[in-house]
Amino acid sequence: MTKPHHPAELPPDTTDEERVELERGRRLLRAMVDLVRQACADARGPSQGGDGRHE
Amino acid sequence: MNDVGALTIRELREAISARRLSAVEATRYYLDRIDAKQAALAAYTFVDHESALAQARAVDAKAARGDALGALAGVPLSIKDIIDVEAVPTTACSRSSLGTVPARDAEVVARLRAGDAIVIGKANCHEFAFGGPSFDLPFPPARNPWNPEYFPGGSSSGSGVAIAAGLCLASIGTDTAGSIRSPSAHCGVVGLKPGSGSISRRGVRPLSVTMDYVGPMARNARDCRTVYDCIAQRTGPSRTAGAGGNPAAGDFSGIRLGLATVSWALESRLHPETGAAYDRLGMLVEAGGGTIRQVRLPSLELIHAAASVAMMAEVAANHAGAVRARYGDYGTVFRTRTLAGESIGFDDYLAALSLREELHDAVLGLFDTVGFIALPVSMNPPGKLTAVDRFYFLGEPNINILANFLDLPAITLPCGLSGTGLPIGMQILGPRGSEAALFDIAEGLEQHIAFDLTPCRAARPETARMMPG
Repeated sequence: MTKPHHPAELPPDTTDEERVELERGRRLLRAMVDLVRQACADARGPSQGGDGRHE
Repeated sequence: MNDVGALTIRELREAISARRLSAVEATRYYLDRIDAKQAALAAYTFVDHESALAQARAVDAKAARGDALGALAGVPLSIKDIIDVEAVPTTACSRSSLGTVPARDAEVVARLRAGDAIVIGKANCHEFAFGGPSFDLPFPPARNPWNPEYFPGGSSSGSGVAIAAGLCLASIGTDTAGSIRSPSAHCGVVGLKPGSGSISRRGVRPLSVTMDYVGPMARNARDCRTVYDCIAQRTGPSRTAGAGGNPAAGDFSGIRLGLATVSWALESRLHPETGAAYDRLGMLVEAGGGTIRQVRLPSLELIHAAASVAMMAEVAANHAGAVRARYGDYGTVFRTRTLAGESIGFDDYLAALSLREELHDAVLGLFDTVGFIALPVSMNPPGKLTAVDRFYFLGEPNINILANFLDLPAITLPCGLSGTGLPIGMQILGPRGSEAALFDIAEGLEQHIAFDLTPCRAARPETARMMPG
């Protein structure tokens, strides 16, 4: 199971404009992560299920 | 000798070896050009006249003694400023690294020195080879010598500018998502992004361990090959040898080149001038006896997503701690991009990497049908030098990232000029180990294209109109 990742607080001297941009960058990355997760799920197929871990 | 700048690497070396020209004369020629053009083009972050001339005198002394000379004897080169040169600052074009002076050469620089090359200076680049052009770094951004109001490509921007403007004969760049190919294409020179393991990354500031490559850039394919042969730890066999024809001589009768039909609606995003140059490349190969086939690149959107997730996670792993500790010492583009990468969890990073071999195998299947695949380097001709959207590379297709993520060698060469008079470059990809074959094809294509850097070099620096930084 994929867990959400929470990066640390931003440095105090981050500007408002940078905070907005940073959030936009993270949103774009989340969309890419969703594509990757879906591709991995498709590659595993319905019969394998589980979290894909191996010993 | 009147026109030192017209000599290729081999011609220059032969002239020095035969003592028709001294290495000192050649080095002074390039240093004088740097002095004349640096203010307008910002190609370099550091030039050491005395060191360059001392290296040149050592080469001349070897020639005078009749000692065997290296393959790059007396050839002035620049080194991207994220690559270590002993006792010279490696700034990575970042305030955070201005005081960093390495005690030893990077492996690639040591190999250049063993070939008797002249390390003339450090080439300008984007901050840590990631993020730019930027206007808040310790150095102004490099400018395109074809027109200083235009972007020269990046992140190995100074390398492309210095070669095109005649401020060195070749340069060493790095390529994480097109950083050798983009400035090569925008400036009208040749660049190779090799496969993994062929050129050492020791002594090079890391960005992304999965995606980083070191490679040569030069005025033409033969010069680029000469540099590659000197710095490579291994050079693969020429795949075109035995395939029929003589591609290096422009006979492509043994070549099957794939022109890509790509997914993700890339065709509709391709600028008409870029599309025309792409078509022309195919026609030239066909006119030389080669076979052209349409191939469909699989899952380009997924390749872009997986590569970007892996790269951004690795950028954050390499740099986020330092960015947080010294936030004000980084440019706003680099620090924002780096901290965005922190949002990627380890599970998702591993998921992206797990797709790599599967995607590679899907692309590798195309090489059963064609020997090589041609692609544009950029969707558009070079644009004006302005501040960029920090995350444009996540929202728009970056076709260059394919070769990095899937570890395929790719060579870029100029294929024409845009309506604004700026170069348009194309790239040719091959399977792993095909670097020598790519040089063969590029050399052959150059005979048909006959791209000319003279107009760019003739531009007088005082006529270059400067934009406010």
